[in-house]
Amino acid sequence: MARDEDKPLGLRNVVSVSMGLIVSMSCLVSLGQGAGEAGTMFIPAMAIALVLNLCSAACMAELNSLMPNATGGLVQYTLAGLGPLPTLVAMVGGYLVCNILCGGVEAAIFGTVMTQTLHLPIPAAVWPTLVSIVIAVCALLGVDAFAKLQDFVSYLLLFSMIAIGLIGALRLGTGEVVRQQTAVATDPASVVAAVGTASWLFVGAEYCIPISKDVRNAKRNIPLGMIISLVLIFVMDSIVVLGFGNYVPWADLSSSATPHLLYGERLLGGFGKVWMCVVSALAFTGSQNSTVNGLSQITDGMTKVNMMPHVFARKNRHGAPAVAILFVTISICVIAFLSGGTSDSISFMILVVTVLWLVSYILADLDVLVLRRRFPKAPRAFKVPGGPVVPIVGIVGTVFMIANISSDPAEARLVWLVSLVTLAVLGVLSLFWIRRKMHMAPLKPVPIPQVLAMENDLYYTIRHRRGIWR
Amino acid sequence: MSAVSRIDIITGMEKFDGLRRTLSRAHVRGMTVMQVLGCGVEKGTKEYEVDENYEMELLPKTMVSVVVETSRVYELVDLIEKELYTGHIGDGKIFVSDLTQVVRVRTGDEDTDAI
Repeated sequence: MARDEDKPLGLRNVVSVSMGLIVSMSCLVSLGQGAGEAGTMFIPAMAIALVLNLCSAACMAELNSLMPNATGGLVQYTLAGLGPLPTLVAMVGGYLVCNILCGGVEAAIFGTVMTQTLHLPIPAAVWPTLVSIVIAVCALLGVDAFAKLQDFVSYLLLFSMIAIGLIGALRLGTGEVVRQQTAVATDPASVVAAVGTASWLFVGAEYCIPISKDVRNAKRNIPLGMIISLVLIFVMDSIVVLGFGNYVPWADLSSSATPHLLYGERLLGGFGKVWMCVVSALAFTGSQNSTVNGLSQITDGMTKVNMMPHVFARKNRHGAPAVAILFVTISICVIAFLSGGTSDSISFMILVVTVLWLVSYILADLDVLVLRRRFPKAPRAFKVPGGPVVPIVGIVGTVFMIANISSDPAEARLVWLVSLVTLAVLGVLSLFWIRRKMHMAPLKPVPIPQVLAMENDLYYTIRHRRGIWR
Repeated sequence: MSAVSRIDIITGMEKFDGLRRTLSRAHVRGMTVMQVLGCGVEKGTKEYEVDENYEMELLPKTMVSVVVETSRVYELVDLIEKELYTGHIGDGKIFVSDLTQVVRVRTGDEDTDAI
């Protein structure tokens, strides 16, 4: 194990990785549309969503402090807390499938945005493919190269968004200032309803956890990094919402498919549109970089506990899980190619897999409660204050987000139904895998020392050779 | 209960640097370090093995002894626990014992004055 001072990453990298996944292109769209529906009252809605996501992030941080060197993060936490079956269902449904689909659709939208803005005779699919290749190469060069790219992209994105938001908020743009009511929704019920949309602006801070074994003073930097990134995003988004209100009518924002580009254009004309196009490119690059690295680490972690074929554990000479990186990158490109410009059906699928992602958040909160009960005296470098209150608030908040997954009741019901069916199918497949490959009781939690022992490659090798694991 | 206590920490050698730094930051003045051989309840079985060792296998460890005011024991044990904890087998053990007398030879100071 590397000495703490030899580890390549610090707090700055944790913040950039967390922000990278959260601030994606679809978040920019959600920000504009949410602001269009609620006006500046979207800011209090974002504050509520921030608190709910801070609860989830704090729970993840406590789990990380209980198993600080676990490669896959939630894989190991849930295995120790609830057993193999919930782990496999949550990780395959809530992370692998969900994020590969989301990444693919992001890539397709990115290609469309670039084509519409730059008007170059280049097919839309070329842009995301080029970016994906650069990201894959950086990931293959190891965690250091990945972190450098992430730092550059995340902080440039942060400063760009704050700058363009401030220009609007201070009415310094070249476009015409709009006179309109600051708040569209003024009653508390409308604000609470907007929390559903606002929640998507903060989901994904836990993606810094898979890199925790490469982070100096991870006990302090992981929880602190997640909190800082969430607060920074809240500040950045709030400034941009104030800017929106000065230059774009709320109705235009809510009806636009690309409200951030509309804002850039109304604020600074053609230059503003190109600027927001660059912001989109940064958001796409940051989220894809976090996704590729995070998912490959999670896949590697799942391989260690025999929940994925062992081929995904293969590493290159830089220590990067090469097969997992290529698998994630190629899957995202294939989804991007298949979805193309028409992403309606895929968007519905994203709602479904997002429900699964949120279910895995609920499992994480449950892990905290279960592991506190089973290991009350284990020394946790970070413990969520307030006893069981925060995990319970996290569970209730996540259930609320699932309940408000869509503003269309018919679509919401369909999303819940498909999610339930998906969970059932994944459950049956997982049961088969656990019985056949892992030879474990599906719902029996695995002791923490055993889960952590699985980090050692010899754990798999010995069991595989003796026929205990297949 | 005596005014001074001894804390003996047995842990893996790779954790010594972090432990030394933590104790220094906590204003612990003085420590004794020994390289020792030993094993715990797992009889030296590696964490990835399937079967437990039949006979005890002794592994190289570091033993750190510090003498502190008894009033600080709780705080220091908590700090040490958090520093050493990884969740893996082999994180170590902490033993706390009362000391009946401590004398600094050079000055003749006793108990808390001597540490």
